[in-house]
Amino acid sequence: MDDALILEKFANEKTRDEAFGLLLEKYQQKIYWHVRRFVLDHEDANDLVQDIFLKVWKNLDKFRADAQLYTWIYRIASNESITFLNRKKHAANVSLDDENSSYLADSLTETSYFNGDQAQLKLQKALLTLPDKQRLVFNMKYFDDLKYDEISAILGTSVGGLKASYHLAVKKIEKFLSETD
Amino acid sequence: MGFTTPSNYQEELTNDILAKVSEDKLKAVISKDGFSVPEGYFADLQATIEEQTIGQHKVVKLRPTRTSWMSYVAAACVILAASTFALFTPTITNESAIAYEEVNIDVVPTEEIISYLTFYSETGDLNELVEQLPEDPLNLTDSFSSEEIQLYLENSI
Repeated sequence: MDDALILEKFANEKTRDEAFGLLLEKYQQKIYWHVRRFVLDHEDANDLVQDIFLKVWKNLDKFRADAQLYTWIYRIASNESITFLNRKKHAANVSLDDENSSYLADSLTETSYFNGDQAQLKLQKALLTLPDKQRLVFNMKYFDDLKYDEISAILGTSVGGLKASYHLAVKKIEKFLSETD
Repeated sequence: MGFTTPSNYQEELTNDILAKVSEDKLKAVISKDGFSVPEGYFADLQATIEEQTIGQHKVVKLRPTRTSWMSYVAAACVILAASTFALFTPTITNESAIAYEEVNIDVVPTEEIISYLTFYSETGDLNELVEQLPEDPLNLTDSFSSEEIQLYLENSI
Protein backbone atom coordinates (compact mmCIF):
# COMPACT_ATOMS: atom_id res chain seq x y z
CA MET A 1 0.00 0.00 0.00
CA ASP A 2 1.17 3.50 -0.80
CA ASP A 3 2.67 5.45 2.14
CA ALA A 4 0.55 8.51 1.34
CA LEU A 5 -2.61 6.41 1.74
CA ILE A 6 -1.35 4.97 5.05
CA LEU A 7 -0.72 8.51 6.35
CA GLU A 8 -4.14 9.67 5.14
CA LYS A 9 -5.86 6.81 6.96
CA PHE A 10 -3.78 7.41 10.09
CA ALA A 11 -4.83 11.08 10.15
CA ASN A 12 -8.45 9.97 10.42
CA GLU A 13 -9.39 8.84 13.95
CA LYS A 14 -11.78 6.20 12.57
CA THR A 15 -9.19 4.54 10.33
CA ARG A 16 -6.09 5.13 12.48
CA ASP A 17 -5.87 1.61 13.85
CA GLU A 18 -6.32 0.08 10.40
CA ALA A 19 -3.59 2.38 9.04
CA PHE A 20 -1.13 1.35 11.72
CA GLY A 21 -1.82 -2.33 11.03
CA LEU A 22 -1.04 -1.72 7.36
CA LEU A 23 2.15 0.13 8.27
CA LEU A 24 3.26 -2.80 10.42
CA GLU A 25 2.56 -5.30 7.66
CA LYS A 26 4.63 -3.22 5.25
CA TYR A 27 7.64 -2.39 7.43
CA GLN A 28 8.00 -4.62 10.47
CA GLN A 29 10.12 -7.31 8.76
CA LYS A 30 12.39 -4.82 6.99
CA ILE A 31 12.97 -2.92 10.22
CA TYR A 32 13.49 -6.12 12.19
CA TRP A 33 16.24 -7.33 9.85
CA HIS A 34 17.82 -3.88 9.70
CA VAL A 35 18.04 -3.91 13.50
CA ARG A 36 18.95 -7.61 13.80
CA ARG A 37 21.93 -7.34 11.45
CA PHE A 38 23.26 -4.52 13.59
CA VAL A 39 22.67 -5.85 17.12
CA LEU A 40 23.01 -9.54 16.14
CA ASP A 41 20.98 -11.02 19.03
CA HIS A 42 17.34 -11.98 18.28
CA GLU A 43 16.00 -11.06 21.75
CA ASP A 44 17.69 -7.66 21.64
CA ALA A 45 16.32 -7.03 18.15
CA ASN A 46 12.85 -8.14 19.28
CA ASP A 47 12.83 -5.63 22.16
CA LEU A 48 14.20 -2.84 19.99
CA VAL A 49 11.69 -3.35 17.19
CA GLN A 50 8.79 -3.07 19.65
CA ASP A 51 10.26 0.14 21.10
CA ILE A 52 10.76 1.52 17.58
CA PHE A 53 7.20 0.92 16.45
CA LEU A 54 5.86 2.29 19.73
CA LYS A 55 7.75 5.51 18.93
CA VAL A 56 6.35 5.44 15.40
CA TRP A 57 2.80 5.06 16.79
CA LYS A 58 3.26 7.94 19.25
CA ASN A 59 4.87 10.32 16.76
CA LEU A 60 3.35 9.52 13.39
CA ASP A 61 0.80 12.31 13.72
CA LYS A 62 3.73 14.76 13.94
CA PHE A 63 5.50 13.30 10.87
CA ARG A 64 6.02 15.94 8.22
CA ALA A 65 5.54 14.74 4.68
CA ASP A 66 8.70 16.53 3.54
CA ALA A 67 10.52 13.21 3.98
CA GLN A 68 9.61 9.69 2.93
CA LEU A 69 7.83 7.59 5.56
CA TYR A 70 10.22 4.65 5.29
CA THR A 71 13.20 7.04 5.61
CA TRP A 72 11.73 8.38 8.85
CA ILE A 73 11.10 4.89 10.26
CA TYR A 74 14.59 3.70 9.26
CA ARG A 75 16.10 6.77 10.92
CA ILE A 76 14.31 6.00 14.20
CA ALA A 77 15.45 2.37 13.92
CA SER A 78 19.10 3.31 13.21
CA ASN A 79 19.27 5.82 16.06
CA GLU A 80 17.66 3.41 18.52
CA SER A 81 20.05 0.63 17.47
CA ILE A 82 23.18 2.79 17.87
CA THR A 83 21.96 4.05 21.26
CA PHE A 84 21.25 0.47 22.32
CA LEU A 85 24.73 -0.75 21.39
CA ASN A 86 26.36 2.20 23.16
CA ARG A 87 24.41 1.34 26.31
CA LYS A 88 25.45 -2.28 25.95
CA LYS A 89 29.10 -1.24 25.60
CA HIS A 90 28.78 0.83 28.75
CA ALA A 91 27.27 -2.11 30.62
CA ALA A 92 30.09 -4.39 29.37
CA ASN A 93 32.71 -1.77 30.38
CA VAL A 94 33.74 -1.34 26.78
CA SER A 95 35.04 2.13 25.97
CA LEU A 96 32.71 4.22 23.81
CA ASP A 97 35.85 5.38 22.02
CA ASP A 98 36.01 1.89 20.50
CA GLU A 99 34.03 2.62 17.37
CA ASN A 100 33.37 -1.01 16.53
CA SER A 101 31.53 -3.75 18.37
CA SER A 102 34.09 -6.52 17.98
CA TYR A 103 33.25 -7.63 21.53
CA LEU A 104 29.99 -9.00 20.07
CA ALA A 105 31.87 -11.57 17.97
CA ASP A 106 31.54 -14.27 20.65
CA SER A 107 27.78 -13.81 20.87
CA LEU A 108 27.52 -14.78 17.19
CA THR A 109 28.22 -18.42 17.96
CA GLU A 110 26.29 -18.35 21.26
CA THR A 111 23.01 -17.17 19.78
CA SER A 112 20.65 -20.00 18.83
CA TYR A 113 19.24 -18.03 15.92
CA PHE A 114 22.29 -18.02 13.69
CA ASN A 115 22.40 -20.93 11.27
CA GLY A 116 24.77 -19.50 8.68
CA ASP A 117 27.67 -21.40 7.15
CA GLN A 118 31.36 -20.70 7.84
CA ALA A 119 31.56 -18.05 5.12
CA GLN A 120 28.59 -16.18 6.54
CA LEU A 121 30.03 -16.39 10.04
CA LYS A 122 33.36 -15.02 8.78
CA LEU A 123 31.59 -12.15 7.02
CA GLN A 124 29.78 -11.22 10.25
CA LYS A 125 33.07 -11.29 12.20
CA ALA A 126 34.66 -9.14 9.49
CA LEU A 127 31.80 -6.66 9.77
CA LEU A 128 32.33 -6.40 13.53
CA THR A 129 35.83 -5.02 12.92
CA LEU A 130 34.31 -1.98 11.14
CA PRO A 131 33.25 1.17 13.00
CA ASP A 132 29.55 0.86 13.93
CA LYS A 133 28.36 3.57 11.53
CA GLN A 134 30.37 2.11 8.66
CA ARG A 135 28.89 -1.31 9.45
CA LEU A 136 25.41 0.25 9.37
CA VAL A 137 26.12 1.75 5.92
CA PHE A 138 27.42 -1.58 4.65
CA ASN A 139 24.34 -3.47 5.89
CA MET A 140 21.95 -0.96 4.32
CA LYS A 141 23.74 -1.08 0.96
CA TYR A 142 24.71 -4.76 0.82
CA PHE A 143 21.78 -6.52 2.54
CA ASP A 144 18.90 -3.97 2.51
CA ASP A 145 19.69 -2.92 -1.10
CA LEU A 146 19.05 0.75 -0.37
CA LYS A 147 20.32 3.42 -2.78
CA TYR A 148 22.95 5.92 -1.66
CA ASP A 149 20.53 8.84 -1.69
CA GLU A 150 18.10 6.83 0.48
CA ILE A 151 20.88 6.01 2.97
CA SER A 152 21.91 9.68 2.86
CA ALA A 153 18.35 10.74 3.83
CA ILE A 154 18.33 8.20 6.67
CA LEU A 155 21.73 8.94 8.20
CA GLY A 156 22.12 12.57 7.22
CA THR A 157 25.49 11.86 5.56
CA SER A 158 26.45 13.04 2.06
CA VAL A 159 26.26 10.60 -0.85
CA GLY A 160 30.00 11.12 -1.53
CA GLY A 161 30.81 10.29 2.08
CA LEU A 162 28.65 7.18 1.98
CA LYS A 163 30.26 5.94 -1.23
CA ALA A 164 33.73 6.38 0.23
CA SER A 165 32.66 4.63 3.44
CA TYR A 166 31.13 1.70 1.56
CA HIS A 167 34.08 1.26 -0.80
CA LEU A 168 36.45 1.22 2.15
CA ALA A 169 34.26 -1.27 4.03
CA VAL A 170 34.23 -3.68 1.08
CA LYS A 171 38.05 -3.50 0.83
CA LYS A 172 38.49 -4.16 4.57
CA ILE A 173 36.18 -7.16 4.40
CA GLU A 174 37.98 -8.60 1.36
CA LYS A 175 41.28 -8.23 3.23
CA PHE A 176 39.88 -9.81 6.43
CA LEU A 177 38.44 -12.78 4.54
CA SER A 178 41.64 -13.37 2.59
CA GLU A 179 43.82 -13.15 5.74
CA THR A 180 41.65 -15.56 7.76
CA ASP A 181 41.35 -18.20 5.01
CA MET B 1 29.69 18.70 -27.64
CA GLY B 2 28.25 20.93 -24.86
CA PHE B 3 27.83 18.29 -22.13
CA THR B 4 29.73 18.58 -18.84
CA THR B 5 30.32 16.28 -15.87
CA PRO B 6 30.87 16.97 -12.17
CA SER B 7 34.47 17.61 -11.14
CA ASN B 8 36.42 14.41 -10.23
CA TYR B 9 33.69 12.41 -11.96
CA GLN B 10 36.04 10.08 -13.80
CA GLU B 11 37.91 9.21 -10.58
CA GLU B 12 34.66 8.64 -8.73
CA LEU B 13 33.30 6.53 -11.57
CA THR B 14 36.39 4.33 -11.45
CA ASN B 15 36.03 3.85 -7.69
CA ASP B 16 32.32 3.10 -8.06
CA ILE B 17 32.91 0.46 -10.71
CA LEU B 18 35.72 -1.21 -8.73
CA ALA B 19 33.54 -1.23 -5.59
CA LYS B 20 30.66 -2.72 -7.56
CA VAL B 21 32.92 -5.48 -8.89
CA SER B 22 34.15 -6.32 -5.34
CA GLU B 23 30.59 -6.29 -4.03
CA ASP B 24 29.41 -8.68 -6.75
CA LYS B 25 32.32 -11.04 -6.06
CA LEU B 26 31.41 -11.07 -2.37
CA LYS B 27 27.68 -11.56 -3.05
CA ALA B 28 28.49 -14.49 -5.30
CA VAL B 29 29.89 -16.25 -2.21
CA ILE B 30 27.87 -14.72 0.61
CA SER B 31 24.47 -13.27 -0.30
CA LYS B 32 22.66 -13.84 3.02
CA ASP B 33 23.53 -12.91 6.58
CA GLY B 34 22.86 -16.31 8.23
CA PHE B 35 20.43 -15.03 10.85
CA SER B 36 17.08 -16.75 11.54
CA VAL B 37 13.99 -16.24 13.69
CA PRO B 38 11.66 -18.58 15.62
CA GLU B 39 8.79 -20.06 13.63
CA GLY B 40 5.73 -17.77 13.45
CA TYR B 41 7.74 -14.91 14.92
CA PHE B 42 6.55 -12.13 12.64
CA ALA B 43 2.85 -12.95 13.11
CA ASP B 44 3.38 -12.83 16.89
CA LEU B 45 5.43 -9.63 16.58
CA GLN B 46 2.63 -7.82 14.77
CA ALA B 47 0.09 -8.91 17.40
CA THR B 48 2.42 -7.84 20.24
CA ILE B 49 3.05 -4.40 18.77
CA GLU B 50 -0.65 -3.89 18.02
CA GLU B 51 -1.50 -4.77 21.61
CA GLN B 52 0.98 -2.17 22.90
CA THR B 53 -0.28 0.53 20.54
CA ILE B 54 -3.75 0.05 19.07
CA GLY B 55 -4.80 -2.02 22.08
CA GLN B 56 -3.87 0.77 24.54
CA HIS B 57 -5.63 3.32 22.34
CA LYS B 58 -8.86 1.30 22.59
CA VAL B 59 -8.56 0.92 26.40
CA VAL B 60 -8.41 4.70 26.78
CA LYS B 61 -11.45 5.17 24.54
CA LEU B 62 -13.57 2.63 26.50
CA ARG B 63 -13.28 4.46 29.84
CA PRO B 64 -16.82 5.88 30.60
CA THR B 65 -16.78 9.64 31.05
CA ARG B 66 -20.04 9.86 33.02
CA THR B 67 -18.65 7.86 35.94
CA SER B 68 -15.53 9.99 36.13
CA TRP B 69 -17.61 13.21 36.15
CA MET B 70 -19.72 11.93 39.06
CA SER B 71 -16.60 10.79 40.89
CA TYR B 72 -15.20 14.30 40.73
CA VAL B 73 -18.44 15.82 42.05
CA ALA B 74 -18.60 13.30 44.90
CA ALA B 75 -14.98 13.94 45.82
CA ALA B 76 -15.58 17.70 45.82
CA CYS B 77 -18.59 17.31 48.18
CA VAL B 78 -16.58 15.21 50.63
CA ILE B 79 -13.73 17.73 50.65
CA LEU B 80 -16.16 20.62 51.17
CA ALA B 81 -17.90 18.87 54.07
CA ALA B 82 -14.61 17.97 55.73
CA SER B 83 -13.31 21.53 55.35
CA THR B 84 -16.49 23.04 56.80
CA PHE B 85 -16.36 20.68 59.79
CA ALA B 86 -12.70 21.49 60.44
CA LEU B 87 -13.28 25.21 60.14
CA PHE B 88 -16.17 25.48 62.60
CA THR B 89 -15.20 22.86 65.17
CA PRO B 90 -12.76 24.37 67.67
CA THR B 91 -9.90 22.22 68.77
CA ILE B 92 -9.83 21.97 72.56
CA THR B 93 -6.41 21.54 74.19
CA ASN B 94 -5.13 21.99 77.71
CA GLU B 95 -3.69 25.34 76.80
CA SER B 96 -6.95 26.40 75.20
CA ALA B 97 -8.86 25.31 78.28
CA ILE B 98 -6.52 27.30 80.48
CA ALA B 99 -6.87 30.33 78.18
CA TYR B 100 -10.64 29.89 78.31
CA GLU B 101 -10.51 29.90 82.09
CA GLU B 102 -8.25 32.92 82.00
CA VAL B 103 -10.68 34.73 79.79
CA ASN B 104 -13.49 33.85 82.18
CA ILE B 105 -11.55 35.18 85.17
CA ASP B 106 -10.94 38.38 83.29
CA VAL B 107 -14.64 39.12 83.07
CA VAL B 108 -15.33 38.46 86.80
CA PRO B 109 -15.62 41.72 88.77
CA THR B 110 -12.70 42.44 91.07
CA GLU B 111 -14.97 42.84 94.14
CA GLU B 112 -16.29 39.34 93.68
CA ILE B 113 -12.81 37.91 93.44
CA ILE B 114 -11.78 39.70 96.61
CA SER B 115 -14.92 38.50 98.42
CA TYR B 116 -14.29 34.94 97.29
CA LEU B 117 -10.70 34.98 98.38
CA THR B 118 -11.47 36.54 101.72
CA PHE B 119 -14.12 33.91 102.50
CA TYR B 120 -12.32 30.85 101.04
CA SER B 121 -8.61 31.62 101.29
CA GLU B 122 -6.00 29.86 103.42
CA THR B 123 -4.94 31.54 106.66
CA GLY B 124 -1.76 32.97 105.19
CA ASP B 125 -3.48 34.32 102.11
CA LEU B 126 -5.47 36.96 104.00
CA ASN B 127 -2.35 38.77 105.12
CA GLU B 128 -0.99 38.70 101.56
CA LEU B 129 -4.22 40.09 100.24
CA VAL B 130 -4.33 42.87 102.81
CA GLU B 131 -0.79 43.89 101.90
CA GLN B 132 -1.68 43.98 98.18
CA LEU B 133 -4.80 46.05 98.65
CA PRO B 134 -4.57 49.86 98.31
CA GLU B 135 -5.20 51.85 101.45
CA ASP B 136 -8.93 52.12 101.13
CA PRO B 137 -9.89 50.40 97.87
CA LEU B 138 -13.63 50.31 98.55
CA ASN B 139 -13.97 53.20 100.85
CA LEU B 140 -15.30 50.79 103.45
CA THR B 141 -15.05 52.92 106.56
CA ASP B 142 -17.59 55.38 105.39
CA SER B 143 -20.13 53.11 103.75
CA PHE B 144 -20.46 50.16 106.18
CA SER B 145 -22.39 50.11 109.43
CA SER B 146 -21.02 48.73 112.67
CA GLU B 147 -23.25 45.65 112.34
CA GLU B 148 -21.87 44.92 108.88
CA ILE B 149 -18.33 45.24 110.10
CA GLN B 150 -19.07 42.90 112.99
CA LEU B 151 -20.55 40.36 110.62
CA TYR B 152 -17.52 40.57 108.44
CA LEU B 153 -15.11 40.04 111.30
CA GLU B 154 -17.05 37.01 112.60
CA ASN B 155 -16.97 35.34 109.16
CA SER B 156 -13.33 35.94 108.39
CA ILE B 157 -11.88 34.36 111.52
